[in-house]
Amino acid sequence: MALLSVRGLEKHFGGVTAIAGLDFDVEQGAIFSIIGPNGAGKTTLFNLLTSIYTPSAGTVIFDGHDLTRLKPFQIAALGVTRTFQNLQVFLNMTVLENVMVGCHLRSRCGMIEAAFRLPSVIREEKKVRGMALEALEFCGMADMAERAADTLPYGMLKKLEIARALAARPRMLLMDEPAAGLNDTETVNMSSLIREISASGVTVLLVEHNMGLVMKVSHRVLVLNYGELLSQGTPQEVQCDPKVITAYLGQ
Amino acid sequence: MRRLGGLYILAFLFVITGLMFPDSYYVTVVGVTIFTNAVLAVSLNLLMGYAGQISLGHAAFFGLGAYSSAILTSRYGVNPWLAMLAGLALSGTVSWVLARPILKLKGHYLAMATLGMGIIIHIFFVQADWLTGGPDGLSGIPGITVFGWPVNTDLRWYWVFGVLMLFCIWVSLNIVDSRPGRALAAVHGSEVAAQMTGVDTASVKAQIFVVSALLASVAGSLFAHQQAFVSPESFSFFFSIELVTMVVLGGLASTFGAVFGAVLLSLLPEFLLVFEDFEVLIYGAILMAIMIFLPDGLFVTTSRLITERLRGGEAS
Repeated sequence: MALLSVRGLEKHFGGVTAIAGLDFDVEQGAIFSIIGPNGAGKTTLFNLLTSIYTPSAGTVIFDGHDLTRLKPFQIAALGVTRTFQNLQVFLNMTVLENVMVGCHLRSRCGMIEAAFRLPSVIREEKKVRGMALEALEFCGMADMAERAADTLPYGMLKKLEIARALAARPRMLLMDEPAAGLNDTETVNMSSLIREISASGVTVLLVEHNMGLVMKVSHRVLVLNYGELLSQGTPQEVQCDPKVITAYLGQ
Repeated sequence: MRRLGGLYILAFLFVITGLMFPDSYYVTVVGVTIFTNAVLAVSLNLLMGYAGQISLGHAAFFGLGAYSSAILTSRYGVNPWLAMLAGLALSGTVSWVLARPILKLKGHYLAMATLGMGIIIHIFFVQADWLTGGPDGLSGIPGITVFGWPVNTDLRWYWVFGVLMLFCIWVSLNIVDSRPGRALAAVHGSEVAAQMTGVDTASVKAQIFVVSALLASVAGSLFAHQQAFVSPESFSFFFSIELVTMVVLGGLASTFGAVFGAVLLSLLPEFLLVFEDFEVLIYGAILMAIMIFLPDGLFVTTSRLITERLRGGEAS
């Protein structure tokens, strides 16, 4: 059975249909890309999968749980996490602290223990610090751990979001335009990072406009147009699909 | 050690000042006011500075603690420490019940809701004559004894409130540098991202609301015993605003900033007494000037400048 299966998913904003009856499956371990022209509903889809929006109809089943009934933090607890198109880094913290927040679900300490700083808290802090550094290391940012997040350049902030998401040890990671605004070198680095994430056993859902990157890294590609599924398949199949060519280039 | 460095310095200053000037009005009487305000500012800062949730009704919890202690000890002869616990139970319950519905709101709406809460509780203090003594207040509140040591002089109150303040700062520093503290800062930074990292934002906001109410309540209980008298005036909307000013003035999201703001706003009126009629005017002008020229707060800006200067020195 697929890790994620979406059935009859719909979202209307007033009279506007953003997602119209979408069905698809994502297999465990895949890099699954969602592409489509601007306004096709890609980010809306991500927001539906993570319960930031409530769908108008349909189900999202992840590993047997219906995500549409859960709150975002409960979805995170099931092992689904994401990055954002418009960066959502905690700019009021250091790089390391950002990633330590990512370890929230892998640590236990509550408010009362924290207030009195019981020995268990000190032990856990040490552990969390280690886990966060490990995630930063994975993204090649360990040397920036102590910097204030708001001093990082844009490309690094994008990576920081990924490190924070990975620190939660997710089973599925949703990446919303990770290469947007990156230069060529950074884009190449990003595609190898995405591959490494996938190789570490994380299922990746990718929304991206950079076709070179999408076609290079994806196992499967889904094409959205006006909230509807236009085409689905391997990168080669999608590229050759006349419907896709029409939608992208016009007739 | 670096984490608590500031606390040790403050503790040292506190002890030295108390030992060197045991008879000074500024140390003992003003000192107690400063410590009370510092406790309130530090607890409010946990909610406002770190979690980014404004409260314009913090004085209400200070009042709930004070009135619980005042009523139970003066009317019913309850042991002050038990009365304090009762105050904590009351403030804890009120804040817990109100936290979820109120903290669902954001920005101006949250400000309005907390303002309303503060005003309602204040009106209760004024109107419930039969219980609170109404606008005339309640007098005849007994003193307290700490392990057989009667707290019966200004100097002794200085020690008691000082220790409470240090305790509060310690708790605040502990929370900030912990899993729940980071979750709070995450809520402040980006609520949606906090949720996607698994933070139950509604719950963590409610928890810190309760913690800050509890700390304010303890301060209120001790305040009632120290003054031997409470009246609604001390817990009005204006005092809530003053507390917000302390936090903002020192610098949001800095425990020592809040302490600094409390010290400054408690001392300023004393120093401005020489201006007599113009006191309030100058007070207002100073606050405006600080907010315009040092929007990050006095303490935060100054300490940043010092750190940069020190770093610069190392580099050259």
